[in-house]
Amino acid sequence: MTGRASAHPQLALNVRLRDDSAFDNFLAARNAEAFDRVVAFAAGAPGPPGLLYLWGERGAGKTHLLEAACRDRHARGERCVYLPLADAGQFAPALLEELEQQALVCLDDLDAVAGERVWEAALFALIERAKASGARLLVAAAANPRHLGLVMPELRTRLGAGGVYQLHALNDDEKLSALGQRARQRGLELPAEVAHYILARHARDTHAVFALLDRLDRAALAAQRRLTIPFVRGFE
Amino acid sequence: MGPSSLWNKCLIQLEEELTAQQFNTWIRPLQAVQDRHVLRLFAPNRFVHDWVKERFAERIASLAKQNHGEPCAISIEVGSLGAAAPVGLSPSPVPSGPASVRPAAGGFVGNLSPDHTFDTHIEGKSNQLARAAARQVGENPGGSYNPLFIYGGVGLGKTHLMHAAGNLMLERNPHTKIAYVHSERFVADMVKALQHNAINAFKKHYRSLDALLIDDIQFFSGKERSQEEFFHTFNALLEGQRQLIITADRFPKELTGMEERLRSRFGSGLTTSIDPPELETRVAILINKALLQGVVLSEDVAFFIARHVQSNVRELEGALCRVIASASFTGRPIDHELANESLRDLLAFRDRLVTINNIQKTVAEYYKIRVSDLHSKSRARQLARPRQMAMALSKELTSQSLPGIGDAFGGRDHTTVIHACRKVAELKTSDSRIKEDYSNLLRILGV
Repeated sequence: MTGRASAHPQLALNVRLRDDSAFDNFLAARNAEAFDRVVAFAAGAPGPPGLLYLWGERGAGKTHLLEAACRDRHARGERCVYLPLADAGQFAPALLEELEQQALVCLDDLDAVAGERVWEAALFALIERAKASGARLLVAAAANPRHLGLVMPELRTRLGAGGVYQLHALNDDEKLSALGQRARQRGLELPAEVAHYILARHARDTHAVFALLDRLDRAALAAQRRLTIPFVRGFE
Repeated sequence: MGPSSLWNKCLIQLEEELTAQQFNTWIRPLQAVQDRHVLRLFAPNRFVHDWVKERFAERIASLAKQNHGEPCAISIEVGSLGAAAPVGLSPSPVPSGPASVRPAAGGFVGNLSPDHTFDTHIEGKSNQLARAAARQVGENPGGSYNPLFIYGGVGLGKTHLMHAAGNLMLERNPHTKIAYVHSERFVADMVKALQHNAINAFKKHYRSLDALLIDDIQFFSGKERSQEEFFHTFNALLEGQRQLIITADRFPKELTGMEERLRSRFGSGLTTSIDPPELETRVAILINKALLQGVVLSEDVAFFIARHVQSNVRELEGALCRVIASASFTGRPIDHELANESLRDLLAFRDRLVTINNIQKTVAEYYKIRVSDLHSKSRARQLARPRQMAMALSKELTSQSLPGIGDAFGGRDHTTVIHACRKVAELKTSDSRIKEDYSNLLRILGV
């Protein structure tokens, strides 16, 4: 322990290490093949098809891979965009216009617009334009194209024409590894017993676990404390 | 300071300040160029432009000023720098415009896919007539099969035949001006041409063709202005004995939201259909497509895949693509087992939503006890063992926290859950009945 929590917690300055989604902080585990495909696809490895489709439950790593792909392509000096369709309520299908001019378009949470004809038509049109321009589309959703509830069969078959990969959530041991890796990336010391404690006492889906780690990091920084079981318990 | 370095500095700061999602969605797709004291940003479309302008422009302006070291304004426009222009060297932004009416740098660009030929098309009973008609049109464009109207379900190869006919025309006469366009693109280009006051160039482009191949005409449904324009283009081409090939998902008379005069024109040449391919054709398609990728696919595996993916060729190709990728990644031979594993991701239903309630109900039924027994305080073995089993399954199959699982079993502590999981893990190795019960329950729960 480096110090005691003061009565007036210090404001946590934005000096934490960035741990945004990247390929090198993705724990592939059972998803090794899908991961390999996404890395090659994002890098623009030659060969058809121009659309890769990922599906799986919440916390399986879909968003992580899409954001990482976007980051990777951008670092190569090419244009790319990530679209969270779960927020489609705030957007309009016009958002998809001209996106075929990007090298890579990542479409997350496609299930959020499945069944909405205007969005489906706009997605269909984007796929057709991307085919002509050579842009690549990396798509993620909660189910595979056959079971998304799409109203346009033309869209369904196009989504299934590239590779379709299911992503599987991590098991508890893998979550422990992922938690440790995420903490190291933040320059945070996370003893094994604290990691076990977090998984035993809190929600175990990776989103929730990483969000908790983020809050703990900020709180520990503000309180100038190490991460210990009493600190985590006091944080609850 | 070069333009890219100023924008790159702004990018580093913006990435720090914004959430990953905001940065990836709104900032990464922007392109930048510097004109003296103005940082010009190009958004891919109007929507992104408006969003960035409203929410981030002020901050970008302040970062640009700070990094430039002297007064610097920003401007945000819709358009792009063009793929060939490296940032900062030759800033020649082009506004987004209709792709098909843009003059092509090296002559006429007709969007024909060179891969879709008659050689790469597999003939079967389901497409025999359509193929023969397309070949006839490819050999004698502008003849009696004009327009050629091909209809059928999605992913059956209508587009392939259309391109094959176009490629054959081109092979016989390399000067033929042929354009392939998807109906959606035709509509979008026409709207843009109207916006940019370029409708005459648009009309001229289409009416100067020797052959127009227009795909998925059902997308014209309800779009009256596009139908009107297409009607005139159609007539101009037909009168000049130029070839038209049209595809749709249904028979011309069944196209809803389409003017009667167009529907009857569509049916005035030759109308032919494509049906879903029968098993043998699907097998032949798979073997042929695999060969094109340098892979020899055994008939046995091809039959296996073809039996599982029946409805359309596009998904069949998707399945094959996945199987080949899996073999290449794992170094395994392409056999039944590998094909089965690869197809699972394409065909499987989404993971069944397994909840604690569902697990409790299933376990209670399996052991012929009541759900309330699982919540009770009783430590009798005939109740405690199923309870432990249900707790272990809840930990394995749900993301619930251990205290949450304890709560769902009559308010027990999380340490009880940990104990139950350890106990079941231990019994699974020492007691074959428990091991069998566990796998039976997993099967019943659909995982």
